[in-house]
Amino acid sequence: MRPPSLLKQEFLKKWIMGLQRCSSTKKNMNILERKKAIKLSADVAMASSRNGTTCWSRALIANASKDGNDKHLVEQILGPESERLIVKKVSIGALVCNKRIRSKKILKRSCGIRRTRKCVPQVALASSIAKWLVRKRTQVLKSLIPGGEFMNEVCLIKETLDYIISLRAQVDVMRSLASASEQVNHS
Amino acid sequence: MEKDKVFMAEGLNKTAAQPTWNSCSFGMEMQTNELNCATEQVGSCFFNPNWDNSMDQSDPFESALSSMVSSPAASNAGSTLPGSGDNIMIRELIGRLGNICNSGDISPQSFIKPSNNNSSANTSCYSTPLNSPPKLNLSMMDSQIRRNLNLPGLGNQLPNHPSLAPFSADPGFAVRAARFSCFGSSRNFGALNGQLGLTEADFPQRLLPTMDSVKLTRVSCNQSIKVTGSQVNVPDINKNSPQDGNSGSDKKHSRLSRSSSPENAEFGDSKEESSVSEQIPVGDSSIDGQNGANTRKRKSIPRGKAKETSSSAAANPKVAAENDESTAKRGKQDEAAGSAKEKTEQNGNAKAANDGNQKQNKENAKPPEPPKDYIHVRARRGQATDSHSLAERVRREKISERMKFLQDLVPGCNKVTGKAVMLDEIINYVQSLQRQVEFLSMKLATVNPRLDINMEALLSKDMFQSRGSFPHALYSMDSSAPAFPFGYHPQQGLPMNSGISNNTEAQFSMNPLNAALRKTQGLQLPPIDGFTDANPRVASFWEDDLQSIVQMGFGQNQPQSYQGSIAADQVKTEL
Repeated sequence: MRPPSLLKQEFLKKWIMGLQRCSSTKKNMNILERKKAIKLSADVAMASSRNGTTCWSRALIANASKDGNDKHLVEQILGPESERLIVKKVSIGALVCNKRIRSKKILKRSCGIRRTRKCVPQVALASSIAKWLVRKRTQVLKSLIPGGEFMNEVCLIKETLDYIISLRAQVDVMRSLASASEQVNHS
Repeated sequence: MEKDKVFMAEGLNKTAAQPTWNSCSFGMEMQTNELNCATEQVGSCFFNPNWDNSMDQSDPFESALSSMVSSPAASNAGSTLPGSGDNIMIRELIGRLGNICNSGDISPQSFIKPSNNNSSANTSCYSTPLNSPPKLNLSMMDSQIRRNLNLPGLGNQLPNHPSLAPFSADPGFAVRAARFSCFGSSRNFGALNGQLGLTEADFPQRLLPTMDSVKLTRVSCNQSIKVTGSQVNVPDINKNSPQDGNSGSDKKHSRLSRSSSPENAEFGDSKEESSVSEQIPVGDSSIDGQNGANTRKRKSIPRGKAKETSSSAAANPKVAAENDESTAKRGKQDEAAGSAKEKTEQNGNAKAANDGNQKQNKENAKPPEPPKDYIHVRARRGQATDSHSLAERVRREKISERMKFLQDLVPGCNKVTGKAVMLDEIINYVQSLQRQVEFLSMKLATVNPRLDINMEALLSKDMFQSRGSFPHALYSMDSSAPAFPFGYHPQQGLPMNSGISNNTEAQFSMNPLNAALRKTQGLQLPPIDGFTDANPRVASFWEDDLQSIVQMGFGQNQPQSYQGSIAADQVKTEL
């Protein structure tokens, strides 16, 4: 694994680059816009540091580029790889994901009766309760991780690992930057 | 490209060389009957050399091969050209396959004739397509293979055995075979790294062109395993894993399997329908063929019973005919493969095959070995041998393996056991991290009215540049970590103080601290010079100095402000 310092360096550089471009394009943003821009550039910078190797990073970039306004920012941050990261992976991922989702819906509809019976946790079977709990939590986790709805469980946990590491690095960098800029302003 | 490979696989299944192919690769997993010992050896040796890119295992492989079929010397195998890792692997595979196919060169030709004869007399309505696809595929595969692999060394082999060459040189097959070996080492994945996301980064791009065949094979193997069910008594290719001899390529390919598995999971569903129809008969034919040859000894295979009476030690044509009749109902590829298998086995060393059977009988009696493989898994003793449960168990083990990594990563998860609670903790942690990001971005928005970060950029550059001068010993100190969260979220900072955050926080605070300390005269820190000079002393000094700085920082007014340097200010805030 890359040492976390390298990861943070890379993240910081990209983030600052993105913020500078943000400030150059738009003047006099209100606080919410600024916050949104900051967060967006931070997320995209973190995702781009993975270079499209992880699913969550691709999904994050894809979501960010959906909005036309943000797409320019995303492309600027990503740089030359933006086409590769956005176009190809998004399209493939979207196709596959749509297929999966559709097939899952069909399956659910066909097994509707069975599903309704199983939805209620049977008190008698502890194992089924446990399974139900795990399933619920997996759903929650899928909603948290960007692009998580399209992963199976095995993949989801791996992505969660990577995502946690990235989030942690991101929080560290942001915190230090926030403290530094606060002091600059106070002085 | 994917369809080409599907078509190729389909065509290949019908070619004469399939029996040897199956016995080498798929057969290794799916066939239960004879040659188990030999195939195990082959299985263990077949894939290993490709990963190690060395000829260390060539000797046992050759011996195993010779026991099966009279194979030529390892000249072809030894003549593999040097190249990149993948090319070497693929070339070796193809070379080995070429050896196998070359040795059995009599059989395919003789096979083709009976199949031609039988096609007319065959009751099955699928006979005619048998002959056409191989010819079609030949040119396609030749061109594709030569284009894809650029293997001049193989050119010799191709014209000699037109029916075999495309099959033997099938890059898709080679990649598939390669995948199976990497499944064998997948067990080491957990041991090899905790770095799931980043190290796999290198390989998925390389994998992409070969991904199609990988998906195919995985789906096909899953399907065939489901079809064959309990009769699968696969030699444990996982014997490779202890042998890892671990080159980096071995690790690489284990990660290859990992990285490709998510994609495969995504794509496998879409491809299942298309490839099932082609691949199931492969599994059937491979097993049926083998069953037919070893009827008496293989009682545990229900499908084999159908062929028991038909093909005992009969002559080749008779066996072929019987096989054809018995398998007429099964499918188009079956009789071709089955009879071909009969021939190759009998053309080869029948005695060795029987010996292999006997050995395999003994193997079956042994307690099954722990599986831990992605596609071919041996059922544990006393556990269900259903393919579904096998796959399920592999999946569960993978998940639990990864949960262990998560336990290390998420603070406070060491004591909890059980998936639900662990997931709960993970969810909480991810949510808290995301909330922190939101909060910090809001804070940055308030702090920077104009989103200008030039000064910070300068500082960060300075920080990063001066970071290199700092000794690494400083980074591993835990005592410096609390410096950072003092000003801010101590209750949140403490759980964050794992190894990773410690290092980075220390880095962030140390550089400006050091810079500031050098510049400011007011701070009395005698060991300042000692920081950069004497590494070992720093650790002991650091904590004391931190405390002194904290006191000074809190008690002091704003010191002289440096125009361009935020360092001093940062020192105060952070401490």
